[in-house]
Amino acid sequence: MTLLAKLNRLLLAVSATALIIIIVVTLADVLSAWLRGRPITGVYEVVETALVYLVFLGIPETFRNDQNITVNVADHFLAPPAIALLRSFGAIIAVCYMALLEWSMISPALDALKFGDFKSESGIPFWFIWAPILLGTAFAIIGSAFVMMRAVRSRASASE
Amino acid sequence: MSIQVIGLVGMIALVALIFLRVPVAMAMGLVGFFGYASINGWSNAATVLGQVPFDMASNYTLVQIPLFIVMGDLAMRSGMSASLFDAARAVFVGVRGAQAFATIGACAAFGSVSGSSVATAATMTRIAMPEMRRTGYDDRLSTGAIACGGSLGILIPPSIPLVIYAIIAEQSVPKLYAAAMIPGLLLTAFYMLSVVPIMALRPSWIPTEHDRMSWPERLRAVAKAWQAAVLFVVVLGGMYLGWFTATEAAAVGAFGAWLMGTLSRRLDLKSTLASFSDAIQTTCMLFTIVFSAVVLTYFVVLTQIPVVLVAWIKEWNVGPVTLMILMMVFYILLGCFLEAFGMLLITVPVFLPVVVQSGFDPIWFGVMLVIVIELGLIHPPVGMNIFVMQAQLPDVPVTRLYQGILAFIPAPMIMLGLLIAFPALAMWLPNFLFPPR
Repeated sequence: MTLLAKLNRLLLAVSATALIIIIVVTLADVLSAWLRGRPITGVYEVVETALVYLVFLGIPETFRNDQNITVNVADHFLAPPAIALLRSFGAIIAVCYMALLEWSMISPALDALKFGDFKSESGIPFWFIWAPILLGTAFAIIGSAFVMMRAVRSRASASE
Repeated sequence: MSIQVIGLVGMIALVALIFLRVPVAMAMGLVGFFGYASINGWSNAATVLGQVPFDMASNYTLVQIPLFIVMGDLAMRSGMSASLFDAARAVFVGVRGAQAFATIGACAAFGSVSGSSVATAATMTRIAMPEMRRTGYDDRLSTGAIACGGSLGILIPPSIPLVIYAIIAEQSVPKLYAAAMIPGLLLTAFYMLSVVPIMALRPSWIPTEHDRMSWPERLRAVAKAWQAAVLFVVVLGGMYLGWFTATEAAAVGAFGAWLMGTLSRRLDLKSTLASFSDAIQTTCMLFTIVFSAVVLTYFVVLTQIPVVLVAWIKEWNVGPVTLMILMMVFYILLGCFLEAFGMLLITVPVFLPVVVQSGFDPIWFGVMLVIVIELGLIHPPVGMNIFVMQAQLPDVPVTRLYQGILAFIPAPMIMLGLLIAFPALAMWLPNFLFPPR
């Protein structure tokens, strides 16, 4: 297993923990509403924060496994070298898009850190939510680059 | 260049990128970003792109998506799908075409705990296909029944596309689930009825039924499906009885599926972790599309394309029913090229204002949309259910898979027609459960 795969697995484990937290905290809230007649304060915000961890720390593995939905209608009428070329093109665009996304998120993330914003009920600081977003997107860029290199290599072998 | 022309160029670029094999999410996000930047400037576009993932990933309503996905996956791994198939077979045993009816019935039942068509089709291919082959059914009928029955997974609640539609269209998830219930059951019946003409026109596709079961055996088989029934009743019943919200219902369902699987010793730690991993990756793939679709929506709204479209349609002077029929034809054609979520996320921001202006209820439209998306899952060339089945049945050529589906295609068409003629089929239950004030 490569270092990237190991790191992605580690992030995926944190993502799975976030999923467990969502289930447990939501169930506790439902039980509290039944037993005490009132929900637990801040549960919504904890669940929202856990969702960010679930999604963004899971994204790198999704990108590394090339699981993004692609429409492959062109495959039915194009030759293998042309399909390989399109695959490479799609992979390059994915890297560019994720890099653009990461770049555009740096400024609001730094603002959150600078101004010390936090969630009103639970007091969760916004930087704690931005951290997995930036980390996960950075790993997704690396995962996309991995897919891109694989696509370019397969294109080279298809041309031969 | 006027903003409408920029919008049009953006839409053409979007279709071109998708056809050039750019992942749907990236195509939507890039067109949305550059389109927005060309109208409102780079700095504003970067602000939108930078803020959307934070806003969307911390949206409480969206929590339902991973929860329902993991619930369906855990239900599948804990053998509920197999029990449902056995129960459905026990109901129809002795009748000619029993396996086909059972497959469609089991697909509908599994759809009530899964929320995903692709997952339903994949699961049922593993369970029903060997049994149908053993009893001598033609592969074309077997695959047609599984692919079409599987598509019920997104119509019968809970449904992931309905949750996503609810978020984009700002509608209530419980109302949408209630609206989808009767059309879902009717469509199940129509798919079953589709087997009857096959019996007459292609008798060789359906063997004479030899399997027999005594009544006690049948009752035992039906009773074994109790876990899925409990899950469905608790999740949806609890939601409509006001015990919990849709998101809480999803959490209860996910926990319930895990608990029942663990207690029945069908789920161990390894399969639970595998289920979580699969559910997370599916969720991430969907969220990537949702983020990008929201960026695209900012651009679409800015171009005022929906407003222009409404004005343009008014000039045509077509009645609302004609408009809806045209829209459905458009969606069926679109289903030839776009997959389900891309179709939903790209078109709803553009079409919903037109639909509402024409006097249609957005809840009713959500159900129509899911049925037409179901059609897209089974018709060529981008039938996702077909691709999933072919991956599991490499010995069955795609052409044979499509041949099997042909007989079932009229069913969703008839359902769409009935919903246009009798909107109450969808609207009665939500109006009954949530009376308008």
